[in-house]
Amino acid sequence: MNTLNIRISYVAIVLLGVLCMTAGFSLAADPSAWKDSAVSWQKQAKDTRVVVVGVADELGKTGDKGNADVKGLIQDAVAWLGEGDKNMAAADEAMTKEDYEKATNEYNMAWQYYVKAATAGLNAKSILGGL
Amino acid sequence: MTRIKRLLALLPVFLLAITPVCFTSCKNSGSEKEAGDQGTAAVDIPASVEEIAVERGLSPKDVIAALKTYIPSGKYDDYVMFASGGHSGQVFVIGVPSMRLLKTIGVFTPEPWQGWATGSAESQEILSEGDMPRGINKKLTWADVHHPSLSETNGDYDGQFLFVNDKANARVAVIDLRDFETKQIIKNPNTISDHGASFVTPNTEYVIETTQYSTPLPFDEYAGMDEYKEKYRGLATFHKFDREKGRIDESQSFSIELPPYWQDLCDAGKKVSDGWAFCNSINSEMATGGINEGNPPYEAGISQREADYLHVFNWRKAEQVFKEGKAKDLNGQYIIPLDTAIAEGLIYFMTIPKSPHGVDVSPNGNFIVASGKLDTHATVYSFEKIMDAIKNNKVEGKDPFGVPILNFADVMEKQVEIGLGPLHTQFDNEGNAYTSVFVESTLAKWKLGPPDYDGPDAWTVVEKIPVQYNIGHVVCAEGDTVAPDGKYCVALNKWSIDRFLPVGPLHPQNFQLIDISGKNMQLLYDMPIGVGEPHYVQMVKADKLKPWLVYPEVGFNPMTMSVDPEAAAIGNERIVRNGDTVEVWMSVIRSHFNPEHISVKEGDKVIMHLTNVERARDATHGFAIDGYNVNLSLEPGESSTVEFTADKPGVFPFYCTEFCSALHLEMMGYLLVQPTQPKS
Repeated sequence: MNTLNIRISYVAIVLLGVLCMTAGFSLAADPSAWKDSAVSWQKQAKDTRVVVVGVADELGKTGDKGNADVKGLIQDAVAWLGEGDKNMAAADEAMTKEDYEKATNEYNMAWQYYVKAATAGLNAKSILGGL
Repeated sequence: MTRIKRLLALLPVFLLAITPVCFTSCKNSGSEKEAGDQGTAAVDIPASVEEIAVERGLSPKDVIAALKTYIPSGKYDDYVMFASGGHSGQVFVIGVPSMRLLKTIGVFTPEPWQGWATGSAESQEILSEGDMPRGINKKLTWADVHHPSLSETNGDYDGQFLFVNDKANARVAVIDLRDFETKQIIKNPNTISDHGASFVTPNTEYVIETTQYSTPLPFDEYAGMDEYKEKYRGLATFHKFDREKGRIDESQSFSIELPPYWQDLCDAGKKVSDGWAFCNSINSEMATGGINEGNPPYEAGISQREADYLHVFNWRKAEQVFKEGKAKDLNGQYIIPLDTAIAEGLIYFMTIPKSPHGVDVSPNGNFIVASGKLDTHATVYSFEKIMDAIKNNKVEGKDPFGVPILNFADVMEKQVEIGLGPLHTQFDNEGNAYTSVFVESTLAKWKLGPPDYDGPDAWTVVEKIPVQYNIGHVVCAEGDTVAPDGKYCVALNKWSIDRFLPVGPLHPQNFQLIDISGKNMQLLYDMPIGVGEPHYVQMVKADKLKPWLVYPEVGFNPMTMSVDPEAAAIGNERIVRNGDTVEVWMSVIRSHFNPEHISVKEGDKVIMHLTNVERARDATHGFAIDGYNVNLSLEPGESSTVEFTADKPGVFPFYCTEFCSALHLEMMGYLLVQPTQPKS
C-alpha cells in the first residue's frame, strides 16, 4: 500500500468514525423528536464538514499537479462544500428560531453535500496517487 | 529493472506450474473444439520479453496481470459474465479473465446485427409484448437494464436462461441461453418502474420484481402527492417461470401489495432460507419531495430516518395464499392485498440502517447481508434468528400500515464495519465476503462468522483494494450462488475519469478485474464499457453454458423454438399473390437468395418467409432491403418472417449483410415495386 493509499485509508477511517459516532436508531419521523433529530444531524453535518475540510487541506497542499481531472474534482468538492455551508447557515438560523424540523432538513442537506464533497475529494486523491 | 529480471527468471517456473491446470481447464472448456487446437503453454521465455516489458514500461505486477488475463488466440475463457447493458437496453456477454466482449444480446432495444427489432416479425412480436398496457400510446424505444439473473437449480447457476429487468418501464425479459436470444418481454401492468429485479428463487420457480418508485395502482391512475400515503403503493411480483416452455406464465404469477416505500434490491433465500425472499427499501419517511415548492429535496427527505425496512417475504406461503384465491385481479395481475399478506404472515420488516441498498444472501442461506449507503456497516441478519423472532412474535412494533417489525436485536447477527458507502456483497468459497464501497472507491474483503467461517478474524475486514472509481455492484465468480468459486471479482465502477483515452465528456464505465485467489487481492485489468451503464453482472463457469452452434433443424423459428411450418426450404421456394398480399418463400444459401426478383405493386402487403438452409457453423446470412428499414440475421437453420407494405414505388436492392463467401457481394436481389400511378 503506497503512502497515498494509506492517507486515503486514514481519511476514510476518520470519516467512517464520524458516521459511526452519529449512527443510531433514533427515528425522526415523530414530530416530537424533531429537536433531537436536529441536534443529531447538526453534529453529523459538522463532524463530516471537519473531515471534508481536512481532505481539502491535504489537496490544497498537493495541488492538482496540473491534472485536469483532479482540478475538476477539487472544483466540485469546493462547490459541494459551499452548498453545504449554505444549508448549514440556514440550519443554524432555524435552530435559533427553534424551528427544528427545518433545521433537521437543512442539516441533513448540508450533510448530503459534504458527503458528495468527500467523494470528489477522495477520487481526486486517488488520481493523484496514480500520478 | 532488477525486479523485472527476477520476475522473468521465475516465469518458466510459473508457467510450468500452471500448465497442468491450464491444460485441464482448456481441455474441458474447449471440448467443442477440434482436436489439436489446444496447445500447452510454452515454457521458454525469450529475452525479448524483458525488452518488451522495459520498452512498454511494464512493472512486474503488470507482467503478472498480463499473464493472468491473456487468453491465447483460439483458446477460451474460463468464465462468462452477463452484464446488464444499462441505458442500451441490452445485455453484454464478456469472457473472464480476458475481458473480451463476446456478444451483445438485443433485449429491449434494436440490435441490427442480430436483426433484433429491425424488421423480423418474430422480434417485433416479442417487443410488442412489452409495450405500454391498456393501449397507452407510448412506444418504448429505450430501457434501463439493471439486474441480470441466471436461472438456477438448487441455488446454483444451471446455464439455461437469463432474466433481466428494465427499471425505467417495469419490464422483465427472458433470454434463452441455447441461442442467446430474447424470447419474452413482460410489462408489469400496474407499476411503471422496478429495481428489485430480476432475481430468481433457487429452482427458478419465480422471477422476483419489486417496484422502485411508488405510484397509485395501476400507475395510470391519478392521485396527487398529498394522497401519497393513502393512494401510492408498491408491489412485489413473483413471476412464475415455466422452464419447459421457457416462458413466464402470468396466469400463475402473483404480487404482494406493499407500502409506498421505495422497494430496492432483493435476493431469494437459499438452502435453509429457501422459500423466503428479502428486499430492501428506502423512503420509509414517505417523503414526497418538492424542492420547487420549498420542501426538502428527496435526497434529504428520504434520509431523515436512521433506518428503513428490509422486507422479509414468505413466498412459499404466498404461493399457497394465491392458489387459495385470496389475490385480487387488477388488469390481469393477481395481487395479494397488504392486509391479507400481513394476516397470513407473508411479510415482515426488519430495520436496516441507513438508506439501504444491497441485500445478499450468503451461500449457505443462513445470513442475509444488507448495507446502508449512508451507513458504514454491513448488517448481517441470521435467518435462524429471523425464524425464531417470527415464531415467538419478537416484534418492536408495526409500521404505519400494520406490518410487524421484527426486533432488531433479536434478528441481527453482526454489524461489520466496512467503510464509507457500502453497497453490494458477493461471496467466495472460503468464507469471505466482498463488499463494494462506493464513497471510498474500494472493494472490501471481510470474513463471515460461524458456521461459515470460524477463525479469530471472523466478522472483520481483512483487506481493501482501491478501485477506479466509485464502485457500484461487484460480481465474483458464481458469487451469489450456493457454491461460489472464488478466483475473480469484477468491480463495476461508475466513473472512469482518467483511466482511458478521452472520448469526449461522456466517459466509459470501468469494469476492473480483480484476482482474489491469492493472499492479497490484485487488480488485473480495466475494461471500458462505452455503451451504457451496467449495473449488476453475474459470472458463470463457461462449461455450464451449452449453446447451440447452429439451430437444430433447418427452418427453425427462434421465437417458438421449433420448426416453423411456414419455413421455406430448398425446392419449395415460390411467390404467391393472393389479392393485395404477396407471400414469398425464400431460401438463403451461399451465395444467393432464391427467388432473386420479387415484383409487387405499390400498396401490396408483402410477407417474406426466409430460411437459411446452411448447416455449417458460423454460416450466417443477413437480409437487408434498402430503403425499407429491414435487416434480418439468419443464422444456420434459422427461419424468419418479415412483413411490410410496399408503399414506396421503385427498385430496391436486397442483399446479404454478412460477408459470407467470396461472392458475398453478389448475394443480392431486387424488390421491384411497380407504381400504381405512372409519374406525370
